[in-house]
Amino acid sequence: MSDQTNQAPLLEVKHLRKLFPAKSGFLAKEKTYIKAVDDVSFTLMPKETLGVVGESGCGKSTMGRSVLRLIEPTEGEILYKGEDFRQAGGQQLRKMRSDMQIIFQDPYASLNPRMTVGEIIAEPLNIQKRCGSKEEVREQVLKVMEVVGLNPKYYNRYPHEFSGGQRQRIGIARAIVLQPSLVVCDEPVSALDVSIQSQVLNLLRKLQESMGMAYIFISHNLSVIKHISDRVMVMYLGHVVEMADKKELFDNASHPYTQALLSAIPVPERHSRRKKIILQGDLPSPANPPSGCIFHTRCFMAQEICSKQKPELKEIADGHLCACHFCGLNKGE
Amino acid sequence: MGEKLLEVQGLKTWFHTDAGLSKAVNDVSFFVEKGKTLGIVGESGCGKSITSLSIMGLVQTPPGEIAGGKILFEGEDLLEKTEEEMRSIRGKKIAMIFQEPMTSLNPVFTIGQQLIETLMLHENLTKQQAREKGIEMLKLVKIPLAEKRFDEYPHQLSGGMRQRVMIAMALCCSPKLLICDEPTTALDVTIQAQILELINELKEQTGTSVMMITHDLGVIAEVADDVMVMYAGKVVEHATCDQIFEKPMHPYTYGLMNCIPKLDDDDTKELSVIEGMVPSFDDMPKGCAFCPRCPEAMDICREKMPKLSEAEGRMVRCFKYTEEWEESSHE
Repeated sequence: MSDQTNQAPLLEVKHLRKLFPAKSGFLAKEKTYIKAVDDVSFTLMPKETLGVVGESGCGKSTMGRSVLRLIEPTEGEILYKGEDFRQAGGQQLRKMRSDMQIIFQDPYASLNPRMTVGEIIAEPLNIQKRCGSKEEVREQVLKVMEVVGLNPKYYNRYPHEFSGGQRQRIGIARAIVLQPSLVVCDEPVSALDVSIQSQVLNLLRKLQESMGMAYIFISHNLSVIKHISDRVMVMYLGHVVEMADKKELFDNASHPYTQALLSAIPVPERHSRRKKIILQGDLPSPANPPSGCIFHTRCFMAQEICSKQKPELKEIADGHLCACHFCGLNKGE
Repeated sequence: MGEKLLEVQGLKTWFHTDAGLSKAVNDVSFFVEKGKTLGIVGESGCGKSITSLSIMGLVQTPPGEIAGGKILFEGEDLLEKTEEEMRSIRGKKIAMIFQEPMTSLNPVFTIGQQLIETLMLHENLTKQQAREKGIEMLKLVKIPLAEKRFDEYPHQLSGGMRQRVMIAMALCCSPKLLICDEPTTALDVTIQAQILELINELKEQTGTSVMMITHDLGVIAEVADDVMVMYAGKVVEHATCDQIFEKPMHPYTYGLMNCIPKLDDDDTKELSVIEGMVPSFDDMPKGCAFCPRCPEAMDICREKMPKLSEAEGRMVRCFKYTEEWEESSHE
């Protein structure tokens, strides 16, 4: 973290937007769009972990996939190591992609059931033609299997023979076999039991230390985010509502939504002293977002201005961005 | 101690599968007191859901089989009831909320139709009366515009709303026992907080006993009076909620509490882990089921299964708290 100030960012995302067309009914002339990701900007330093947190439907997964162009973004700029990733095509795209990988949420659905573990992990190597001979590929795969804690004797087994935690290790092995600089982790531990979850989190952290990867770590679980991230971005209905260094965010949560999220986590201790903020209502539909501040319909401190004027994402402390008209006014409550 | 509403004694629910006999629930005993909440915690495959399905008489036979034990509800053994008698208990005296609000409502019927089904069956109400009562129930679980929602279909509601409908349905005949099987797992945290608050509120209002099944110790801390921790089909620890959080005694409970990342942790450290994974039923270790993963296991643990016995005012299944442990460590 400390030597990052004079380093070039690994990834710069500017004003990223992703709109999905939505039909509003039979014979509808007017085209409507669901704004899944609306004006998201951030930079990611090498070896840094950016945690992205929000509820389902807030656009965090779409954002993660748009950054890799697994979903083509509608607008915005993505600079990867200074190169324009959105303009890249053909060979160049493939080459750049080899440096960025993704780990998916569901270890049951993200592995091809007809391929053996060895084949699954070798696939990126073969596509990128990294190794000359089959022997070399095999050697690489076995090495990676050992790194992620898979017994090499499982090389010829199929995914269904493994438990969820083991499968997630296969998914991780596949992601790191090309030694990427950026890995998008899309809810990698949400489908796992708690005792397995901590094993996988420790593994991800260990790999980051040894291989120097940067993570975009997407999760709905704030405790997990706090454990693994350097910086945290909170999303709501496609917008970034707050972003700050981890410590700053968890000590001085300024956006009412972040505060509510923090207070809503059930804490495994009795008679917790924390005051609970219980939000009213549900997440509004992204097809028809509220006017003004997107959060005002559920906000416990909404005022008149909130329904009229959209708050800017402004810097309220060093590196601490927050989009609320009353940022900084509600501290200590 | 309050009156026991439900008492389960030595319940054994086994499944005959192609791979062999799976003892999903193996000799489980516990009770739920009137007006209290019992939390059941464990990882997937520990038998917590099968325990609740056994109580409801919803275990499919075959392949399932209740191989032994008693389920005493208000003093009567539910296992000896006929299917018809069970039907008059299920939904009326014991109700259940399932994990997936998305899949447990029938998509081709309106919320109202599904809600009044129970009312008309158990309470002999006319359609009009049932409708009124149904709308009242929807209001009770804080669904806005209840009259309008009553005639809508499940897909028109959000996940949190659907779970509220499920709760309304479960509570409409004022059951004595409400079984909640992971009621908030599929929901977002802010919605989870709403639902947990609602369950707590309704419990106070109606005096219903609750069995809360979850893998989330945080949820347990918020709602439960007593906690039962299960592992591989057996109860490993049973204590009051305060006791468990103050001092988890079984190494599994201890491990479970420590491996969850917490907000006030020192996050530069590695998370503590429980090594390995839950054994599958055809590969059960000899002796204590937890011993291959237990950091404190000794020879005796690998030889025989410890009994669930009393220690420091609670029940624990571990040799650590028995005399045999001392003897074993001296050898």
